[in-house]
Amino acid sequence: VRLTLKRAAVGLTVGVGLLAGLAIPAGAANDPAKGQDGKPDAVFLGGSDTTFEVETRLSTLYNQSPGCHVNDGKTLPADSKYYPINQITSGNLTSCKALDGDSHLNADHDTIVQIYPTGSSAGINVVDGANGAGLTWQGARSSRSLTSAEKSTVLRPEDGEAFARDGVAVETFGSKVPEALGFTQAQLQNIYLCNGSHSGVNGTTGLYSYHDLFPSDSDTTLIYPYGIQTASGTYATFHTYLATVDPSPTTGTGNNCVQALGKASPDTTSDGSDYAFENDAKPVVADANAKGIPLNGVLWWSSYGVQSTYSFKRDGANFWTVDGVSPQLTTFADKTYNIWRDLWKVQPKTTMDAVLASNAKNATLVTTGASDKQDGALRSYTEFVCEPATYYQGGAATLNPYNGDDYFSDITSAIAAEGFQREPGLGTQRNFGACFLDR
Amino acid sequence: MRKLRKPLAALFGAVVAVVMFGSVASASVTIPENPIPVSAGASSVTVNVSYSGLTPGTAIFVHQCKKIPSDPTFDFTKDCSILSQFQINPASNTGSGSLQYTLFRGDEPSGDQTWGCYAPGDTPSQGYTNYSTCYIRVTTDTAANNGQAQGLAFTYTVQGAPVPESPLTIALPLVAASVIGAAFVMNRRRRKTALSV
Repeated sequence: VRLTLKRAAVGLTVGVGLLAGLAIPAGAANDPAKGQDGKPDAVFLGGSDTTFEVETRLSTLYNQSPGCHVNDGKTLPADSKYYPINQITSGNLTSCKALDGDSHLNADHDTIVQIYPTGSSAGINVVDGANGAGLTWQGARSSRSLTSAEKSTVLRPEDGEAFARDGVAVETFGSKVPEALGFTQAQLQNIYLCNGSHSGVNGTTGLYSYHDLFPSDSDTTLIYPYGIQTASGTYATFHTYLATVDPSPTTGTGNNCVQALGKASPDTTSDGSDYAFENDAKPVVADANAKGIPLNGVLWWSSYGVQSTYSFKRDGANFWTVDGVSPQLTTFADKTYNIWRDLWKVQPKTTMDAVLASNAKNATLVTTGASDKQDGALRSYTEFVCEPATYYQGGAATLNPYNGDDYFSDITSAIAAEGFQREPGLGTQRNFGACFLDR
Repeated sequence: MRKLRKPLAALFGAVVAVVMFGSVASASVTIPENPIPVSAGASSVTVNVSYSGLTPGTAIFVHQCKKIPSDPTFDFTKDCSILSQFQINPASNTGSGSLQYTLFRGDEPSGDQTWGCYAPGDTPSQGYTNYSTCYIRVTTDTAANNGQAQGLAFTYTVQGAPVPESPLTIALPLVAASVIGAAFVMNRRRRKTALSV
């Protein structure tokens, strides 16, 4: 009898194990450790203009990736009443049919929404509480790195994950072929400080000519520097490169050659809101035409990736060599071009945080943070973009049902389609899977 | 009427030929040598890429790819190495010209794409797909613009260790002297033989 009972117990154990194995294939459940709770949420990200298009592509990829089976109305209440989400703030109204999602992907069928851009700093300030305690979106897009205050002392300290690399292109327009040597940092500083000796349209003073800066060039066209709205990461990156020189001055004293849109003098509003929005050159070109400024003399700066991808926004801009290095994807990757910059995902540490000692280049991520609801959904989406190739290749995760490719390849492709490259794998530039973590 | 039939047919044929092939023949990409010689251990080689027939005043984008752009499944984000992208300004594009372009040999350099362009005898890294024929792709306006893209197939050929060359100015007189010397010796031997007989 004892033997029979023992055999029955063993058989029962094996049977239950088999059933469990069939019901929940290995790695096929939603994963609270990645922020997944088996329920759908809508998550909002705001901020950067430069990263708007690429994040929209990545969001679409994530939103369409396979997750759990929705309820069919037979074994559980029909989800047609609840799915998709009908109350975005509460979310979580119903659950997946079973624990049958792929935790590598969008197991919960969350929806990532990219809010129309208002600039990196504006996006970050909402998330970290600098604009008050209210939270209108859960994560930020940024084309600049976080400040130490944003990482530690604000209301909601944040982590940033660099997922792509871009460069800031210094550009002129018209038929002006850039000088082979290009601009140096000192020349650009002097141009934006209006240290030149020429006067131009609308009483502008302090201008340089090409001949002043490049004596072998007989071109005496005057160079008119234009500014960019100061909430943008593209502004912040260029300002960091120019160090103490503000390329979008708002004081109204000095620097009076820097052009704002529709104004004879520089923008004197406290927020620089009369300067052009970043990356779209058309308003700058139109302003120059209206003022009688020759296009060959218009100097501006923009995202290399955006303007290389959208020629309508580029509007004929010619990119200059800076400090002797041509702006190309290779020189951004190896950082030899001095105005390279990373593109970032930003969220509060309470949403997702990671200890660098537990993570490594091209290794599967190890994080802490929210295990459910909107914050959990944001954590899952951030990890989706930063997981390494090994996480998605070799049968680890479901393939994209639309094209049969693995998701690492599709994420790489989405980033490239917008003119950027994944955070480079050269040297120690990755420390967090396929991303660079700054905490 | 019959007299006109032949000239009209010829004219029609010429028009058709111009319409069909005129635009294709107008844009071209060439390199001086193909297969491209590479040194045994070299991981890259710089070639002079000449182009013509491009739309002037637009940016030029050059890529190294594993698939020809005319393939209906071509996707530059997956079939070209993103790190191979080289861009020329609109103001510098007069429609034709040439540029120095560096091709990689071996694994795709970003490390995120599992293919490469290899020379005969090369062994790809594990998991990488071997492409012995790759393509130089030249297009205008944006990198994604495949409608204007021109693709040039190329292969590599490995050159052995460089052999030290002796200059002709030294080699030619030496060869001439040795030939004359040999003739002189042979002539004297013949004379000796004739005298002894």
